[in-house]
Amino acid sequence: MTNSENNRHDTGRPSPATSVSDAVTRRRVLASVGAAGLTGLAGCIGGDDDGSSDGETMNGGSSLDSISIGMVTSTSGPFAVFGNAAITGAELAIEDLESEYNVEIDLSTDDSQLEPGTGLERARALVTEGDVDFLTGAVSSSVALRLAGWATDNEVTYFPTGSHSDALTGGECGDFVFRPSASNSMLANSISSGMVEASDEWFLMYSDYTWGQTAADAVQGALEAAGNTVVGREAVPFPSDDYAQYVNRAKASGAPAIGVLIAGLDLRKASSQIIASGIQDRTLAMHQLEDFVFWGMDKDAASILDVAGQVWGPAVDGGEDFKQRITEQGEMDPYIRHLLGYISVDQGVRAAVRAESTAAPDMRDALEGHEVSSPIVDMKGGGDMYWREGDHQLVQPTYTVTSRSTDAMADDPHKDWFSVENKFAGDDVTRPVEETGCSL
Amino acid sequence: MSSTLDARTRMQRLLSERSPAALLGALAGVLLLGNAAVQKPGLFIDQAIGGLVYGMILVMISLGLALVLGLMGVVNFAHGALFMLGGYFTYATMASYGLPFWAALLIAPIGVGIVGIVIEVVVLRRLYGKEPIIGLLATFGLTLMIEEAARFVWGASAVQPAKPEFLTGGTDLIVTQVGTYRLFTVAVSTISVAGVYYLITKTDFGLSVRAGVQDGEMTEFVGVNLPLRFTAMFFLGSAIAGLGGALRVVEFGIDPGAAEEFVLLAFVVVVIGGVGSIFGSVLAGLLVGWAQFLVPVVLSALAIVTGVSAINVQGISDIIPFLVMIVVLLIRPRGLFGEEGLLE
Repeated sequence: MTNSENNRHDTGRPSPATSVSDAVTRRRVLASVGAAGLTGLAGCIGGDDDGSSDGETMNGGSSLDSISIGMVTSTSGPFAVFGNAAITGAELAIEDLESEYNVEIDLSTDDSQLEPGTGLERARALVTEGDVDFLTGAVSSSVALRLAGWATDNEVTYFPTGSHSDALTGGECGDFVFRPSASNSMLANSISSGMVEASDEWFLMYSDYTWGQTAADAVQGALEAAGNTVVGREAVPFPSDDYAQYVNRAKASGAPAIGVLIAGLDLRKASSQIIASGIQDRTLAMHQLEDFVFWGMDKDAASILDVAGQVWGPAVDGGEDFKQRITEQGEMDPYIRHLLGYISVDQGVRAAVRAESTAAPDMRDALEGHEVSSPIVDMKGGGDMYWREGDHQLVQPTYTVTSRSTDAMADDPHKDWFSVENKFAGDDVTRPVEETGCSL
Repeated sequence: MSSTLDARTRMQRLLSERSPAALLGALAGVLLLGNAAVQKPGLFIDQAIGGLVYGMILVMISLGLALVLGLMGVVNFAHGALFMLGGYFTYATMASYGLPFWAALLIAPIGVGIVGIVIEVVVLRRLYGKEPIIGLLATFGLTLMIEEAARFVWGASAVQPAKPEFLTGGTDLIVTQVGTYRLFTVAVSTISVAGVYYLITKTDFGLSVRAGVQDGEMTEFVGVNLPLRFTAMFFLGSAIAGLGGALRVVEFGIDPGAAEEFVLLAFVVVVIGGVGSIFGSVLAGLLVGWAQFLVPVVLSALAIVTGVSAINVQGISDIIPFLVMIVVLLIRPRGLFGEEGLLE
């Protein structure tokens, strides 16, 4: 078996046999049933990393002639556009992986309805009734944290596809939880140099839930560490049907710069009302830019952004083939959620193939310290990517972008309205493991 | 009926019924507002005007509900779905058929009004005179059906047509700047309220509908075609909901979740104003708008004066409409201008 990816660090973990609690968990029972079933088969075909098959039965919860993936994400409500894009990305990854490994991959999706309880119920059903091998998904950090806790307790590998909350790789990290996206603090550290240079005083508006709270803390911490001042911060209920009152408070603060840490499509409302209030000339920063949010606005409105952090976007030089494939699907232009869906599935499947198992402890060992060399590195624009052992964060490059002039905003072959200002190595923006509060 | 008493009489009656404790509470409120105006004058003015604008938007959203609930006694939970449909019809008219904004502003409410007629004739007409809960459940079911239909046709993602060029940006009101489109919404809302008020109180049509609500048998006995008038009234309530949605979609876009998001707020406004009173709904919309915008400023100013930062509660705005409703209902269970006996 030829691995297409290599382990960068020795995980130093005990073998799965000794690392797993002796407690009989539901997941273990499922795995045992799966293994027992497999022994009754004449043999199943496992996939090699290089795409060849050796015809051997794999140990663990599943044979690798097929892998079943569950994705619980938002397919309704204000985050539906993000969840659906992640599903599209995941489906593309499945196409590629099936071709590469000769393995049948099944994706089951369900709607979290943006409710942690509903998300958990759907995830549990996918695992216990749908027999998925590992979980991906969630846009909302609140949903992701709930799923992460359950996945940890039940030994299910979980990739919180679209959540950026620091808690996931911090105080609420989990043995079997691996975050494929950049964390809030990574994005905050990415834009902090631009924000520090842009203004000494900032006012922060943030969505009042886990993602926004951790984003505000991260941005404020980065600004204050550089000697800047946060003159005020305003928690904004999310979703909110009106941002005028919060924009008024930002305006009244007198701060020459405003950090708009608003989630999802609500960023459109906030931006529109910033323009309507006449304060768009102040410096505006957003720590996590999702191009799609601005595509729903006219180009003049979208051109107000001065500095923003980004995990990836169409402006990044890389993944042109991926962008083209998304564009050809015709549903929407490529943006970060497509790539996050792709990465979640890509990394999950490759970990299972390397581990020759879909058992959570085996996948964990295959992921911890693993240096990524799959096509997602090119898609991300190059640079080191690896799964950090101490907190299960995918350390990866991040970017800062700024609005192009309206004349330079491209719509063909796909929308491309921003330009990359800086690229940061993942190690330069990721907080040290000892500062995360994670103790894996 | 609400419209049988003029606004001044109602206000005088409301004030004369107040207890000393309530008046003391009102005095405290004035002092708190005064403190906020002194501590943060610029923000106070911005928020007062912002609250007025937002309040009128709430009036626009709740007017159709107030009309149908107050005059016809139908607890129309589908009001939010009709509001949402107004947004989608506007989007379809502008984005799919390429018609201008003004055409959409006319076509969408009429389209929603026709949907309202179908609902009234097929479903609600069978429920008149029955327990309000039956109408509520029926219209809740209709809401789910309309939501899913919208999701099927337009998808789960939000849609938003382009805003007319001349309504983009802000308008300078000297003391503050407000979005031009929001001012346009306020103007439409004001015209709608005035038009509905005139229709209900000054025309034979309004008189016959009100008579029909009070005594249907007698009204029909004198030759009024009451079913037709009720259908027309439901058309009007639905069309106004559709107009609210049409105005909304251009500013912020709309998705299937809007149906439930706004129907709750509309009910809060109508309940605070008092079921049966259009004037009450207008006042309640403004009250909620001002409360949402000014209470955080009041708390912030109070925190400055007292030195207790905990008073400045972050993120309180979204629960303020419900707090206002609780306070109003505790003081006056039928709402500010609700009539005795209506839906009680």
